[in-house]
Amino acid sequence: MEKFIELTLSGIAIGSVYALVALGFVLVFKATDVLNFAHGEFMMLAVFLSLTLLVSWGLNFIVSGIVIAVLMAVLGLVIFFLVMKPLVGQPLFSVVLVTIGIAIILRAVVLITYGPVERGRINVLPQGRFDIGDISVSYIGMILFGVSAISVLAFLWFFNRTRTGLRLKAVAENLEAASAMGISAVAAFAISWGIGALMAGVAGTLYSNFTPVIDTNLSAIGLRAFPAAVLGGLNSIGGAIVGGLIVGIVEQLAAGYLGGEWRDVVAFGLMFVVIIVRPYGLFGTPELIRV
Amino acid sequence: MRNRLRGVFLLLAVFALVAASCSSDDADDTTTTAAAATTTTAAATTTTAGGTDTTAATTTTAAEIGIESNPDEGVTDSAIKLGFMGDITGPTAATQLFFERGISCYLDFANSQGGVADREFELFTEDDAFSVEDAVVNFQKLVEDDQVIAILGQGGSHIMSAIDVDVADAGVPFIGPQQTIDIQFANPYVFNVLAHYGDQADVAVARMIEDVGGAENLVVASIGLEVASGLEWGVYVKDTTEKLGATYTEHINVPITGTEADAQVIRIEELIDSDGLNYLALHGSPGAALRVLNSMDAAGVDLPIGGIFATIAENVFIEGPADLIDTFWGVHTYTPSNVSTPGNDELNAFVAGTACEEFASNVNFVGGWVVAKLAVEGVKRAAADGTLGRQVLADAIKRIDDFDTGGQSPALSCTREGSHCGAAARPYEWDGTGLQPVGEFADWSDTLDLIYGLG
Amino acid sequence: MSGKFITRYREDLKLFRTTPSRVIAVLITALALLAPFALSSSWDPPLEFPWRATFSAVNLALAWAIGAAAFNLLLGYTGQISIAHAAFLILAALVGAIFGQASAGLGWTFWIILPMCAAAGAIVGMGVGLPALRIRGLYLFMATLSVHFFAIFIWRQYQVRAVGFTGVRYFPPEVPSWLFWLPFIDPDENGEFLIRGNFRWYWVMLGVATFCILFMVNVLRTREGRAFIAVRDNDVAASLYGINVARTKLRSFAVSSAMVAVSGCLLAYFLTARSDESWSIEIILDVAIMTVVGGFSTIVGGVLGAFFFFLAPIIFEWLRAAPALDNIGFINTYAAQLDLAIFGFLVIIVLVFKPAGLAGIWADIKRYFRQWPYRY
Repeated sequence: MEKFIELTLSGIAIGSVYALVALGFVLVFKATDVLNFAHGEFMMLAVFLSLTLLVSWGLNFIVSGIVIAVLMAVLGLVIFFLVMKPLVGQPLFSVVLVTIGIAIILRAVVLITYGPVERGRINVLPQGRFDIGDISVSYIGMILFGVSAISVLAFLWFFNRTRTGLRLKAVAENLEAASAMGISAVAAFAISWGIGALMAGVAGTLYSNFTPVIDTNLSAIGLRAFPAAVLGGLNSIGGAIVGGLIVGIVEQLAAGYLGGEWRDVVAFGLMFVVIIVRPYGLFGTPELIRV
Repeated sequence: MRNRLRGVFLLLAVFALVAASCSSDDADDTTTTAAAATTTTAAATTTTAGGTDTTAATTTTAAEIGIESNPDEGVTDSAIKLGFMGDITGPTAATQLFFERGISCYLDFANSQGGVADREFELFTEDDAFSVEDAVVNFQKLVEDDQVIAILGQGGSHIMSAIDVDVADAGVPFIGPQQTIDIQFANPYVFNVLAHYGDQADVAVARMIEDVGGAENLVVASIGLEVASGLEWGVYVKDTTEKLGATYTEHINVPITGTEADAQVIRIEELIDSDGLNYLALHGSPGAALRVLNSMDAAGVDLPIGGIFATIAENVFIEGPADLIDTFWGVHTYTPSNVSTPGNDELNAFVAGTACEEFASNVNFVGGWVVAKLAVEGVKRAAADGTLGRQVLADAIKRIDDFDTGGQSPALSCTREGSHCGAAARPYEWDGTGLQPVGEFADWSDTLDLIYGLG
Repeated sequence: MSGKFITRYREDLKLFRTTPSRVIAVLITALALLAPFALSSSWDPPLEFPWRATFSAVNLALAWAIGAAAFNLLLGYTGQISIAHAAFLILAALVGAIFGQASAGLGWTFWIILPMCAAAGAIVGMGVGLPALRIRGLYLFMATLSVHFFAIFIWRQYQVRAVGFTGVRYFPPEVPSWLFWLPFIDPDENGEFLIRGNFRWYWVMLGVATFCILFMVNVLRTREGRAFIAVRDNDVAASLYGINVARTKLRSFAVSSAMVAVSGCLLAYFLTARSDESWSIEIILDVAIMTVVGGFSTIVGGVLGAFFFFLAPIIFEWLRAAPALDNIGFINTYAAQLDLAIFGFLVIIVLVFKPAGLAGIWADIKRYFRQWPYRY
């Protein structure tokens, strides 16, 4: 039982990271229909930026987090206006492939500026653990969970209560109708890219204090955002966090009880089953087929 | 259309800006490396001090013999071409880049000494990013287009097994691959410098037994990346442990698609409680080592760890958790450059003030240096006999026996069966500033059982 | 408006409808037949162009062209976003490893293994296609991504248990002795003719690739092929036309997977070894790059994309290493990283300028000549 709880707790911690990454990913997808394959690289870039800001420049955690989030948002906007905007209305796959091109370039940029040598984690956030009975819980894991929960709540509020959020939602629901109502689709797309990249920045800043090793392989986290996002339902904001947590917990339980080699098989197998049983994810809305 | 073009260039400019701003902390590195690039024959080598006249004298004698050029096999009128193929931008770049730099810098050193047979060494570097497809094209390029006399380095067992036949067909000497799969020992053109995984496991287990004071006290588990070579390490550790009468518990897989090792650490905790686990045998890259060590640290698990060669890169000790680093050591064939030996003194004197300096403290740099040293020694001996070509070079290396690398590695004897030139390893531990060897290579050679394969 | 008008249905069905397209077909055939002789000649191209490395790249491109075109068939024509393609490369390698002339194989000849791979691909492909009957779009994408992980898991278990840590090695296929009368086939002293080396492999690759690609092009010209497109455009409408949507989807999966398996079989024997590390997740992205940069929804796009994928890095690496640039310290120091970045930029530039990919550029060139001297 103790093992089960410990595995679940570590699953929650890592699942929160998946959720944060999936959140940014879903935001872009929901608004623009683009699968952003560079999202993992965005997060990797944010982790490396944390190395510069937190370690080399010794900035305060909050300050550096804000700076990185802003930088990433700017990067998202720049990518949107330079590359994605000219491609609006082009075949979806061409647009998706462009994000793979961006991922390749980001990887090359990081390799040139930071080199391939792995670094350890950044120890700015509290790294210790506290005990509840026999179970020890890490601070950073709880921080990660808290931040992803807050982010999801903030986004739910943003999309349901603010004017901009409602506009974004309108564009995502029906582009033509929204345009007819005078909502600028370009602005909505730009904001989505900006917020999506910003979330990668937030996730990266936090993850740099959690990940055991900082190297270019971190972009593999992006791969985990897919099952997390799909499990929750690709057009559901709240689903992303549930999906992320489920993927994280299932992965840890599989690796803990069956062995590391089962981790991917079980996590993706679960996703496979969920998709077959509930073809629109746990919280997604079924797509109506028009005849 | 023009707007799109402008957009793309603007994007390029933005990336350049991002790159520039990120690199400000190590901007001085970038400029120094840029100043003296080392992928090709650095004409810049003339600036480096330390070229001694004695070796220059010996090369003139070689030149007097007059080696004929053999441009199809890497010997032109002014240069001897060598190739490097490996992963510079892929998942194992952190190890292989240093290896390549070591080769490149040793060739600069050899050139500063006057080269061989009146010719300078020229290195052709080909990056495969750990992909077999790229590696096959690169191999063809080095052998047929660049027409090198020998290829140095290469890492990745999937790549080695794919080019193994081509190496034999082309008859090109292949020196110092960074993995030890069985087929490469059967290939007459492959010269292995790194100790076999099986030998490394023998040394590691022997050291563990010494550490815990007797085989009966040792309870060991192996942990490694979930790739074939990780499982191979587990099998060798298991064989050796059981043969020596210690207890082996199990092999723990660390999947390559993840970024932490939390579940694995929980399993380790469990083994400590149930089986009295008191040692870990670690396999993987420096990144994998950091992953396991930091995950253990985060969970508050403390256990002594003995690692395979690739786990003891310098950055693991600098970046890793202090508690675990104290009892973390690893087995290697090469002696890091902070340990004073005649060979390392020569290395440090040469790299001081050059672009090589920032790479030199990594043990893989010494690996590349030693492998290049072996290649250059082979070229020298072949040249002394009057001709240069791939087959002549392979034969010359095959005759190298008990070659002293100045303490940077065990004495290399390529006369052994399977061209197993290195065949020795010893443990290294961190003293706070650098890796220090535990004993001499000879002290550990008795532990090798020289049995490889699935057992 | 100019150009050739098609007035009869039979004309529309022809593979080569216009004189220029026939001329181009003849030219490409001539090029394909002469290329291996040129690439293996002792000619040294100027400025140290890596001529012979190009030969390996061409062979790889031919093998991958089948896979990329098959990806296009499923994705571009039937609209099924399946990325289980690497799984079929693994499946083919597994069939070869178990039955073929490989490390622990049963020793069946390559010429039986190749159709076996296709058959295995078709059968398993239909199985993988089953979820497509229920789910669509990105959810199918995710389901097929899982298949990739299952395949790697099975491969690793097989490799470690049956073969060992080195990876599975495949031995060169033999040309059967009753074919020795053919030109260029002269058996060696052991009385065998082994297919090894770029020159001999080229002919196998070219033959199989031509067959497979013509097969796919022809499938698309049949009723079944048009049913693929109808399902992609609107499956509900298609079903109203009397198209059995489920069967059409499964057929598309079967054809596509069989072709990918053929490509995987060729690759396994050409590369002579495969192990767990050969199947990184990036393979999926590689196939996608080939397909989309080449040109989505065109079979020729898959071929162009595969050649782009393997030849562009060689060409741009050669340009980057030009003497004028090679002396710039930054370029020299970060050569490999810059090659990577250049490739990323190429992908972006091609798609931003021409979202239809290389096939779109090719179509523009053809139109330009067809309509010359009128621009519109």
